[in-house]
Amino acid sequence: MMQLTWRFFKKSWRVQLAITGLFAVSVTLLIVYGTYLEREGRLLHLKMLGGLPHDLIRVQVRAEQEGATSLRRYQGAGEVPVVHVGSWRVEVVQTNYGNLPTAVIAEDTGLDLHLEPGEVSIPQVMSTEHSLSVGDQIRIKTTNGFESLLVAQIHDGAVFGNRLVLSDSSNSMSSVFLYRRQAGSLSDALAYLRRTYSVAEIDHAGSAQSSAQKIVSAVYSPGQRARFEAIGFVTIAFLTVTLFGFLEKRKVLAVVKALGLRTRELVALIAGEAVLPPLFGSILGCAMGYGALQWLIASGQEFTIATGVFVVAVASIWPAVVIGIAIPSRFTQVATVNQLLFERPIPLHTAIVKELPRRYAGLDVQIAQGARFVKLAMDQGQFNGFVFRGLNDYVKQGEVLAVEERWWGMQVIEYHAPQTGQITVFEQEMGLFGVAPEPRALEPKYR
Amino acid sequence: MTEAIMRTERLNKAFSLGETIYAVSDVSLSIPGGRITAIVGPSGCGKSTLLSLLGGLDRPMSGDVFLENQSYRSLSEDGLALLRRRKLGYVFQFFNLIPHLTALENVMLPMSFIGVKRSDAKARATELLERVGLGKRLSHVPLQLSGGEQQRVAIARALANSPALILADEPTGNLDSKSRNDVLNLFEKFNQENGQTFVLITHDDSVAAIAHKTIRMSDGQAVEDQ
Repeated sequence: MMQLTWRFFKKSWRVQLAITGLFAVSVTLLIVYGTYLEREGRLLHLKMLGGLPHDLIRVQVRAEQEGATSLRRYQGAGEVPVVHVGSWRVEVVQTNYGNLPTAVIAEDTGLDLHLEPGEVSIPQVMSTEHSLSVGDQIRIKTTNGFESLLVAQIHDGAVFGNRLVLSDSSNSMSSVFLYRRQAGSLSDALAYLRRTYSVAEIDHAGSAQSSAQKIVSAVYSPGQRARFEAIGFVTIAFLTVTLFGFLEKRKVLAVVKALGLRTRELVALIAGEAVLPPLFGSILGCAMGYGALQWLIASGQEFTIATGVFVVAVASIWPAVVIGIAIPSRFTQVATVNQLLFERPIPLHTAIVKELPRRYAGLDVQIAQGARFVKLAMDQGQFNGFVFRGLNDYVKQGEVLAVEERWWGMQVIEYHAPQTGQITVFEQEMGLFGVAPEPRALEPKYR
Repeated sequence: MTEAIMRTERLNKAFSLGETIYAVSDVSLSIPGGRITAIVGPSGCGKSTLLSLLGGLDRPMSGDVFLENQSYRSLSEDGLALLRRRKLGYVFQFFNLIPHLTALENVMLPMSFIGVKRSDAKARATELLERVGLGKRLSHVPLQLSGGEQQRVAIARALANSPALILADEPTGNLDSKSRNDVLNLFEKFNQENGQTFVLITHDDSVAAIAHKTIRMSDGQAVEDQ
């Protein structure tokens, strides 16, 4: 068996090599893509954690509306639905910890963040990373050179993200506004702000979900589609190869089946040859994926190599192997030796008809007398199959009266005698067999 | 009277090749155990189809075959495979040797299915190939053998597991007269020494002459002679 498998494998080594390459490339791409998704998932998680407090709306004004620091007149009914809490702008500041994104807030900004000149609030992440606490100092570069600032507060990043926060006494360049919502509904406030700042990005506590949804739509949906397409391509390619291999080896499979090879041994023979290229391809793909990730990390991508991604990549490709082995194996299992040997259609489904499909009132009397009927499927008075029994023949229950092949031989319909007895009705135009009980039918018929 | 090792019950097999052809039509017969039976008839009369049904290589559309009272219809494809492995040897009309394997490996193959040790299988395969006159052709692959030599390898393969019943489809059809006589002598010898049953399909009366029983086929129907 092993020898035969190895001979099969050797004979088609070019195809096997191509399959190995296909699996290696697929696994590599899935690993890189999986790692990318894993990183996006982490970012998404952070974004969802960084939601705003429930009573705040954050309006990030874009460049074309910068300088619009005051609210326009409210156009709706009743009072203006938002109040000004503070203004801030975003800058990148050079510090002794590198260039850091910084929110510069107006002196009158609320949010329990009261900073005096010369003070700074640092994000929790920075505090942890650099072991900074309240009372420590950091240095930032200003137009007058480096200036030391006192760490006065540590904030959680919900409102300002992972930015430094400074206070600006000049209040001259604020371009982003914070509004506290009044008693009115959130939708009124949002409608008002969207009218006022038509191109601004408006965040509120509930928008984290929609941000997440946007990321899912932008990143996951096309990516998942591409992944399914890639897996589908690999499945079809592998199945094509295994089916062609099956057709090529059909006669050999017929011979070993004729010599007594059972289904599980035939499956082992097919699988033994088919499983090696995906196996080598998966191992090679893991190595190539690891190398690709190392290269991307060295190129500055914030990827983390996780074992789970490798497992998922290999696991997602192996259903193709199972399908590619299962279908030829199924053909080999159900086919007779001659169907394999002479390339005849292999019936994948056999149906047995042994009773009438509905009541025929004209047969009620005979049925009451014990007769049982079976009806062939007729096509304009013709039966497209083979009839083996006729009027007055004795038949046993379950004996085949007629056979019909459909779908180019892939489906077989067998019409069985509904009971042991004698055929007393054989209506050719209707395709009707009637069998009356008759003990003599049980007598042996062979010579 | 010799007890039947095999019998058939109203066997039918039809093909649709533009028109319906009943290759085997309501054939009920019995094969006596320990004897040589010849099935004779003109080309296209259904001999090979009948032999395929007897060997379980094809399923009848209706009717049944019984080997030592075991019904084929009641067996799955796996059951039939086991039956072929243990009790049947089959010589195909067109040899059907595995092209990737040598003559020796082809004969060893059926023995590997029943778990015979490789060294024992090799010794038996060598002995069988020597008996069919191919002792010097052990390491040749089928493509390096003539038609007659391939036929003799196929015969050796059919005898490998010492089956109770050997079915041979035109076993001498591709042999010269000397090789044909050698093969027939071999069949007679195995029949006499081991009591193995042979069913031979042939259209050659000289082959039928060695048979204890002859079944004549015509238009898919069988008539038994003695």
